[in-house]
Amino acid sequence: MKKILYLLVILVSLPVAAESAKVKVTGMVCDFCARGVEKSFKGRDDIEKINVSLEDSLVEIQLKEKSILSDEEIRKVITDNGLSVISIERVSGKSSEKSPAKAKSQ
Amino acid sequence: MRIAALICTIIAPQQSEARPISFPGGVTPMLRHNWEMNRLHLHYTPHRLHSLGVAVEEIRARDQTNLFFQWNRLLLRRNRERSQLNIYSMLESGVTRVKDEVEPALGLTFAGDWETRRYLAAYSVGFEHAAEFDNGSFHQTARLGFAPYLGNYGSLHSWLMIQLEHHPEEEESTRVGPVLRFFKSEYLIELGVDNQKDLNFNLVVRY
Repeated sequence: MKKILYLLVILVSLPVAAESAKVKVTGMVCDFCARGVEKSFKGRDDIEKINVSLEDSLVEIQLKEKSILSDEEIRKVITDNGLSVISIERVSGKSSEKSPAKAKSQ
Repeated sequence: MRIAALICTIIAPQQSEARPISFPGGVTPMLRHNWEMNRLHLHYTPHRLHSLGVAVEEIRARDQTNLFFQWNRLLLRRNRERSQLNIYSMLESGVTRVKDEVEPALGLTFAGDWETRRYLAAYSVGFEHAAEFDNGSFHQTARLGFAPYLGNYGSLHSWLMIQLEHHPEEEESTRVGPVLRFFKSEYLIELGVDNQKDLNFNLVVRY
């Protein structure tokens, strides 16, 4: 019984892994394009961290704990910056899923 | 007529150094110095398809100043995994002052660019008209660029470019020369020289 209680205490005290999303984009060919995406996401309250890779055409979004950001919202921010979304991969502590989106021009 | 041609030539937007539309909410000041003018241009992007700007130009060697309001529109964008293609229209309306005479003026430029992380091609053609001068004018600018190395996000990016300008009404109607472009963070700087040994300098900041 004691062991179970210890285990419960440990589990409760573990930090909850915040969700992140890996967004594959097209059209991100220069620093200015990437900077716009970064600024747009950084201006939101639900974003903990954002990483942009020009080499991989990838935008990695780390959400704040308990925050929710839908695929539609992610797509809107990306397309508002003139880029297109190929896929959004969700990564969390428990599971990960891929939600491909057809790349389209504007 | 000669003065008219000169005026028409200088009021072209000639927007080859940076894309004329930023990200929504973005503010972009641009400073240019070249063979004919000093130009300060500021634009704001309310939407990904539009930007609104104001430009002040001082034409050296002539007692001339221009003030323009500008509306830029993204007509076409094609995103590919490793490239981006854009076509823009740029409409300018304002006034030009020559030797204490002030006249309304209008300009329309179409610009296109295709860019990968390694290569760049850009072209613009401008048509202008100033009141009292009914002959109109146009000019063209083309650029080809090459990035000698591929920097990742946040690092210093460098480009080697060749720029060709065609101003049919000018004595030196064709100018060609190398341009070096560097950008890092919000700052873009270009330095170049043309075949008449005139300096090109551009500074762009994207807030």
